[in-house]
Amino acid sequence: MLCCEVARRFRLAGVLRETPAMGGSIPDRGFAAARNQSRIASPQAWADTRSNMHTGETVPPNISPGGNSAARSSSRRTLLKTFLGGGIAASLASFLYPVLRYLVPPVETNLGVDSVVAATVHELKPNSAKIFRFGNRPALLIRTAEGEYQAMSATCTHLSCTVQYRKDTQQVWCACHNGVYDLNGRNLSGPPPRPLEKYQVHIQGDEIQVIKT
Amino acid sequence: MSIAGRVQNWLDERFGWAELIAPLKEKTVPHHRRSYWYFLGGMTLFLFLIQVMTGILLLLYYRPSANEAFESVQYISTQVRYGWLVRSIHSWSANLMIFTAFAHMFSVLFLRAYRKPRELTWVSGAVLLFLAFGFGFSGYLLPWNTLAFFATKVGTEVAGQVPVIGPWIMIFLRGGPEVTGATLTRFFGFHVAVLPGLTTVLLGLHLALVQRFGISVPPAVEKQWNDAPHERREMKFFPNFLLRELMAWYTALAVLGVLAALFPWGLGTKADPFASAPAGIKPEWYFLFAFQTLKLIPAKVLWIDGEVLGVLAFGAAGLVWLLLPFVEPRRPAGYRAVIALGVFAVAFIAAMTAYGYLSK
Repeated sequence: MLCCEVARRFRLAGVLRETPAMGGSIPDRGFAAARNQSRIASPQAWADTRSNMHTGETVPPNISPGGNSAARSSSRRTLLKTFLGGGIAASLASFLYPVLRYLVPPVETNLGVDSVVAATVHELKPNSAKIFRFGNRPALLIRTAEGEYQAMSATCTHLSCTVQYRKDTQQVWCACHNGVYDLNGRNLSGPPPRPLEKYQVHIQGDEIQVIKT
Repeated sequence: MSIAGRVQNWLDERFGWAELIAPLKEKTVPHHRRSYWYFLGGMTLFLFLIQVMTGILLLLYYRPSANEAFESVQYISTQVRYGWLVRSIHSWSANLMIFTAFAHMFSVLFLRAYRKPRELTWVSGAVLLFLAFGFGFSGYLLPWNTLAFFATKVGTEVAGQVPVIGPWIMIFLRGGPEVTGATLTRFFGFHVAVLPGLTTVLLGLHLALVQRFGISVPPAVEKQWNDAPHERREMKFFPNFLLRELMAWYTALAVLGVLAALFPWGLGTKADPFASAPAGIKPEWYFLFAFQTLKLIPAKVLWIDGEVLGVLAFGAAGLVWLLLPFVEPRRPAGYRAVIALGVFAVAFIAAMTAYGYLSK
């Protein structure tokens, strides 16, 4: 009688086919059980979880023949847990990889400039300067008080502000953090750690050509 | 103790973590032969989350101006690694999201889940669907291609047909009398700031209401369970239902992945405000039934302009739809009328969409 009662209740609960050790197939509820494994240690607790699947139904523990069903379901749970965790981890990795690649901007095509016409000979008076475009970055062409030309990178070696020529001090000055360079680009005072990159100046006819060495 | 356990203890000591998540542990989902309809809302949410994430990714490279928008989308599709995939997923997921939202809405209608006490859940859901249309309409313009340009021109022109306030709405949407770069700037703002903000609030409300009332059971099943209480079946939400939902999400993801990879979203040609509209121009499929209906209405019906009549009719239908739980007559004949209305709506939308595709 008890047996019939148990079977009836199992059919009602819709779990008969899902009971471990009764059928051959892996119960779909196994996923849930696998998820709970860390918190469920005893056969009693396992049975409790099963009874919670559908409220109002209580599933008695250890109804299956064979004795060590708890151990078997435990290893099954571990396997399913590994599959579930592995599947989710693999999915996340497959999402993350394209996203990380996407986040890195494509490398801008380097203009490959190593020489540029910075000015014409009539453009700069002595003790003056101009910023010109050298590839993707700004550069500084100075005509000293003596009339000589000097060219250097205009990117401060401290934190990459653009420097300027100061007529009053006849030095190269960075307004961001008061860095000072001399007319050869050597860092004199303030935070800049290195000299500015120096370029060669050639005068060809009317044009002042600046060349990266 | 495991690290997770210690974190949980730490949270628990400070603001009662266990108490906070207790309702989630107790949460159940009714289990019956129509339970599979319950997955659609979650799928829509999942696709919305994909939209948020891919949308943020697109924002990293997109430039919202008439001079740069098309080129920046071109850059995403051709230069940025996996850019074509991110954009394609964003476009396909948008379409799938509208589709699952429609399916979710009609399942709620036919299972009569909108009935008391869930009227506000229906209203918030309907508003969310309208917001999704807004997302679709505003996002469509952002690549600034020819199709998008004319779709926006037509769409805002239709809004302009509304009596009295129409012209004002049109100017507001376009940022001027014509569709220009100003429109693009506005639509960009709607698409990435206004609509996401509103949607987040309404989605929070919608989910809170679902959590508050629990999941609705169809009337037939409810009656059966009331007659025979021992037949009542429920499934724990966490983890049982969630894991099943996860499988539904994977299915959606698989469909999305296949569509995005095998049918990458095209870009078309850059919009030229002074070029003629190309032949065969059509809106997105979810606007097609309305577009087709407007085409069928004669220029004049009695003394009213056909366009005006169509816009008013759709406006009225939308309002009835939004307030459906409140206008439904409270008797069996009334319920049957609503079901009939739902069947008519599905048939009308399907037929008009098909007609729209097949007609020139």
